Amino acid sequence: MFKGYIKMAITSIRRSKWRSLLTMFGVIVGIVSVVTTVSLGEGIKHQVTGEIKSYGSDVITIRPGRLVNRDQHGKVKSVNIINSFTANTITNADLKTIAGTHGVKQSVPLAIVSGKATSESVSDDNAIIMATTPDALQLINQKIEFGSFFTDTDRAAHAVIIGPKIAQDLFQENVPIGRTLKVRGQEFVVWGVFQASSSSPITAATDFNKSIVMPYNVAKSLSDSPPQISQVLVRAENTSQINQTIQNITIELKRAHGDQEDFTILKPDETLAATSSVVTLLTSFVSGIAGISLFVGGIGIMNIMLVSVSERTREIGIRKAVGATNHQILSQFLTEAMVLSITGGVLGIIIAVICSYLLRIFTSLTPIVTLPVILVATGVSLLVGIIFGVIPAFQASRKDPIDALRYE
Amino acid sequence: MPVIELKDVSKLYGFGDATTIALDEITLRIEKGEFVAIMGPSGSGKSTLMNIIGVLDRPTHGTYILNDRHVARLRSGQQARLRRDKIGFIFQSFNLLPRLNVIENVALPLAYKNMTQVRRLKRAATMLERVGLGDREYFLPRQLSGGQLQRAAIARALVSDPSIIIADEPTGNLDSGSSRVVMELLSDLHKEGNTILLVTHNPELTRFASRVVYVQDGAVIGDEQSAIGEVSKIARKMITLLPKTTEEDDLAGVSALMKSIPGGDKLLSQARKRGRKRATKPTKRRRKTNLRGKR
Repeated sequence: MFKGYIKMAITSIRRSKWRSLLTMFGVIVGIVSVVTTVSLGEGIKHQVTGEIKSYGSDVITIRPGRLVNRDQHGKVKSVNIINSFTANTITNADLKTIAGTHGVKQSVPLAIVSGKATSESVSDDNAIIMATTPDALQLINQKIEFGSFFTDTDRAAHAVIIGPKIAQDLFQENVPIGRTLKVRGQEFVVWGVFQASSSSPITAATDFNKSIVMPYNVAKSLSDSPPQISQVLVRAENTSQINQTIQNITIELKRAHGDQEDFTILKPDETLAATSSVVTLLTSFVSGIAGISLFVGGIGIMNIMLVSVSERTREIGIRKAVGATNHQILSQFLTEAMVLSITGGVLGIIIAVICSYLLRIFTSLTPIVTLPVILVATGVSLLVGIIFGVIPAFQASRKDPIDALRYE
Repeated sequence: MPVIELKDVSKLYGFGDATTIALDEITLRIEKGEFVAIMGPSGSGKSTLMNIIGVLDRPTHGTYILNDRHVARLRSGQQARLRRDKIGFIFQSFNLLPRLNVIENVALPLAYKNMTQVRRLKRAATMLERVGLGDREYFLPRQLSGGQLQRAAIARALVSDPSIIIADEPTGNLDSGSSRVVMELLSDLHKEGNTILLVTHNPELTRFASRVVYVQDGAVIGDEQSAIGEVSKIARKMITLLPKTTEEDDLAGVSALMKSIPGGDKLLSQARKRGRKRATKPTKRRRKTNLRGKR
């Protein structure tokens, strides 16, 4: 019998193609926006995971400010996004403290230098100008494609390593080694170019494609105030004792900061957790908004079903006269609403998949449409059909056969 | 064993001062194999009677037993099943679903019976063959003439092998040629042993009936066996009494006619009384008239 209902529903939907399409439109828009945002979020998470892995699984990140709140077991409970941009609590002296802590093998500051880079002809506002020490190359896990990184003997050299995107933007060539660029009035010689790396738009990690890296000591001389340290990367002597090392650093830094824990130490996998919880928050927020359009789409279905029920009053009367029970009439109209909404849902999923591919082709975003997302979207559209189809179907089923037969 | 047994069945609409009595304690037995014609003026309650017999409506009082089952006690789902299995409707306006083709329309009652589609269509095809529409199976209703539509509707009424076929003015929308075909078909069905209930205005159609029931003001005022092939006497007589236009001005004309009939005076005074009574129920009458006027 259920097959019969579906057949009836399809017949009746095909009868008024335009009206059905417009009715489905609300559901289509809702599903497209929800699926696209969720898969964008998935894509970003995926990229971040990839980045963290390339960071090295034994690298501890220390950031200024209280970035995360932990529960008593040390698990990340919540993330403060704002703090990561404003705090400036790690100082030069802290670098020495960290380097001297027991169990630390290497430690490297990543400092942000404010200012913009200019070549002879072009200036670039988007460049991330960073200062670091020669050991950084082993911790950031970036490869040099052309030229070389600065070494211990070059601490005072006016040298920079630039990302491939900066090479293009400033010099319009792939290998601008030996050419000069200016930062804060001082000239720097390009020593090397990073290998291009994939990166996501929203991440806690740094995009080295767009970076200009100079020696830390040189950066100190650029202005009166020392460069702002945005993170310190630390490698422990013994990978198995990461937790012990983290504890040591925490104790040492707290002592230096007057027992104030105004910094955050993240384990390798926690960097991922911090980023992905931000992404999850954003994704659920945007898909919540998109969900509203799904609700509106549902109301559209209800509206059309109500119109359809009153238009087909006579049909209902005839069906009842030949022996349809209330329940059978209810099922018929409910199935019709469900077929409408699920068709809209499937169309929406198809469009969302197409959108995702277009986004992959034309932007740096890499949305991933996963099977659970598709299943949930299908389920949700079915649910919309049931919720908003039940009232019209109930109305249809309660019609009095005599009145319905007289209806013109 | 009667197929239908009505005992003191009443149907009231509204309540208090606005109560309208559509059926007034009607008692009626219809035996298997009878061809009953129900006659009466519009507003007499014959449609209400038909709806109650057809289990589309419930009586306010009284008992209705269809095939040994007390209908009033059934829940709506059971009533629907009773309609599906025991009753075949034939309407004045055919009431075929315009978007289904003829064979699907005929198979519609079976669709609610969980019968497989193949068996459904096979049975529907047999029925269409029987009413002479074997070559019109896949036509849409709008591609058929009125007579063909009504024959399709008869096939639909027959498809679930009902205990009783209820035909409500089946020839009301048809020309005389198609009417004849339809009535002869019903007559054939009667001869095959089907029980048929025919609601009609036309006394000529009582030729096909084995029994004529005359209803007025919600009560059965005449019930006689009539020989097939003859117009029932009561029908012929009563039809002349029908107040077709307004009451008072017609009475003048009718009076003259009545006086010429033996015993006419008595009938005339009855008619006058009823005419006045009817005039006090204008709302209901208008509604019924509209009903008849549609299409």
